[in-house]
Amino acid sequence: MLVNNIVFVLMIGVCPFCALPKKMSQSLGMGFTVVGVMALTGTISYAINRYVLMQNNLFYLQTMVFIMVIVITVQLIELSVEKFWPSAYESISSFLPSITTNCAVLAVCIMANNALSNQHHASSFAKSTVINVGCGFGYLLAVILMAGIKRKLEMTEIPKAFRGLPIALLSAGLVSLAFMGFSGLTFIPLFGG
Amino acid sequence: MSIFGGGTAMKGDLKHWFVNKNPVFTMGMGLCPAIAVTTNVKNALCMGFCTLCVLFASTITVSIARKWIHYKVRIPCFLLIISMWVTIADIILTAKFPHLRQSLGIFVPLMAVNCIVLNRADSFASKNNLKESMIDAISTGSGFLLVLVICGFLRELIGSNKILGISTFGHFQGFMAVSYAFGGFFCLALLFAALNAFKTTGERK
Repeated sequence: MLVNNIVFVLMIGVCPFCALPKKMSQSLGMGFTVVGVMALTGTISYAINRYVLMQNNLFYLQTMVFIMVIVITVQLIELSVEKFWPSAYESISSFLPSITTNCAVLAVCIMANNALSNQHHASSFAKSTVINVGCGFGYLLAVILMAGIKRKLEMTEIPKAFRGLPIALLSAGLVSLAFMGFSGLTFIPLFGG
Repeated sequence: MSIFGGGTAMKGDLKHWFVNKNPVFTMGMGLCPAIAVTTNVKNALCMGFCTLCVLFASTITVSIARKWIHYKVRIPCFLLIISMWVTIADIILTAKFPHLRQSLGIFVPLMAVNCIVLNRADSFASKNNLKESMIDAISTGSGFLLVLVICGFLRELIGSNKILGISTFGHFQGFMAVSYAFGGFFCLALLFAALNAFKTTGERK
């Protein structure tokens, strides 16, 4: 989550990231939605990968299957949130399409499933769950940071050429430089994977 | 859109596609691979070319199949088509260039959710005929390729002082930070800013 932060170190999931909402509450909502989606899709795709694809040697279908899983899961989440929490639905409904094609969610599925092919089955489900949830929280952290930075940026004078996307990218770059300082940390040697 | 018109018309259109309607800069799409893959020119070239091929193939497929896809399920269908082509590209890449595939790593499957490909399929290929979709795909894809290669060139030069693996300036070791995430963000931001400045000075004239 810190050492291999999915946005600032692995550079995945940047697309919607730079055009993100500026309010803290919106970005919290988006971040938590992404965490939920990552955890859920990671688990489901792990199960499908292990019991269906690996058994039948259909490894090359991984990409297609994961994308379908993501699409279906996001749709299900949207429907259930709409039904049970209408107020929350309004705030996150605009993000759900961009979460569907978010590189980060697919990347997490693939990374979590690479853990499958290397290790004993009993421990690798735990490992992939940690990857799912950890990356999700890493993304959440990134979103919150960027929202805070953007709010500060609104109050400053930015040269004309840099307005909009360039300054967001630059500030993300500086944050990623800071994150490089984390590269010696190991809480539990699971994130290195 | 007279791309097949005279010489000057084509030149004007090329500038239009590379500068004004470049997918990374104007639409802000496809940033993930642009930042992550461009650590050196070889990776950037390979990634850009693969994305171009996938874009081309999937826009053709979508354009042909557009009459049979119902509007409401179009996004999953497009994603399925795109991921099919990405899987094919992945397999070809693994077979022919395994080292390149290894260094591109996780970003090859991520072509399937590259915003550019889906956006072109959804907004253009699903509504226009085959020829125009092909032209659109080629121009968008080459704009993307150009951005990737420029970024890769800059980052490789500054980051590790090599171009395509050949050292350039003697004993200069290069700023390692540029090869990591920071360089990606920074380089893209600078290119962006340069392009914006270029556009506004052009307008004022």
